[in-house]
Amino acid sequence: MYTIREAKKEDQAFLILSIIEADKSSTNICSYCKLLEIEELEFKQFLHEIFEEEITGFEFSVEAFVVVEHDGKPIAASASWIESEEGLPSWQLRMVALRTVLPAIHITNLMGKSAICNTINIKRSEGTLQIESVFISSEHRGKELLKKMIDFHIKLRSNNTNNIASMELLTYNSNLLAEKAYTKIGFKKIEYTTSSHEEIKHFYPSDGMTRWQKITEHGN
Amino acid sequence: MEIETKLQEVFRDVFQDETLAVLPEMTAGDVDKWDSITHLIMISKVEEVFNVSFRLKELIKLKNVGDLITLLKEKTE
Repeated sequence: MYTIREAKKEDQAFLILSIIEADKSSTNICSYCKLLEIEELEFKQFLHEIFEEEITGFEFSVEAFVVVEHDGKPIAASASWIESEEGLPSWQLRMVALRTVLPAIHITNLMGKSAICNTINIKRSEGTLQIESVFISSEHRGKELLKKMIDFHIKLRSNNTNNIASMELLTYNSNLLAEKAYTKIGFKKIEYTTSSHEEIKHFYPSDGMTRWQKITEHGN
Repeated sequence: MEIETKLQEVFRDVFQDETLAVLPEMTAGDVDKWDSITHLIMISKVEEVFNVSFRLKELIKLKNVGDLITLLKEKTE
């Protein structure tokens, strides 16, 4: 029996696990850890500190997440927000949040990596529902939990004045499981990057990213 | 030195553009090399140069360079 609900403070450790596992995309490369030159445990601690600030509009927040429970335990999670709804794009929120928790040495570690990141990064569209940090425990895959979570996100972020017209998400190109799952529920590829930078696979799980889009009934 | 002048020096250094002129309405979309990593570095440099420390709740309210100048004035005067 599966139950879907909004995330709560008590889920925080599982949400942070979801962020990292989604970023790793079935590899052992956490891009944040590689770029910042920190261990996963340390990155988790920084995320806990950011979550305490309760900022909305990106995935480093309890408010962004929905959780699927099985037998009372969280087994899947995913985040959503309306991009730039309160002014700042999610990438800026991510960076200022990291700035306030990272010691200076980690900022120094980022110097010179901008050129690498820009060969792979894709910008998100303002006003669209962003789906991010999707994680489903391996033993619970194939149960249509992805679709159920996305339907829940749409209801959660819709209100009388704001019907969701378009949804977007980003995946790494090597993540074929994600590609299959998103294609199955109606997402279409609209943009992709492929980096030829020789160090790209040291920092990221793949050498490229794909932006996916799905137009809802309100966007037609 | 005026806040705007010092800030312009930081921006020219971080975004590697010796001709960059800081304007109040300027945002990331107006500067070629203003991306996620240089944004983080820029905030860090501004804190260092102006000897201030920003809180997250202050940073998320900054919609453009003018907001940053206003915040710096509040923190340094």
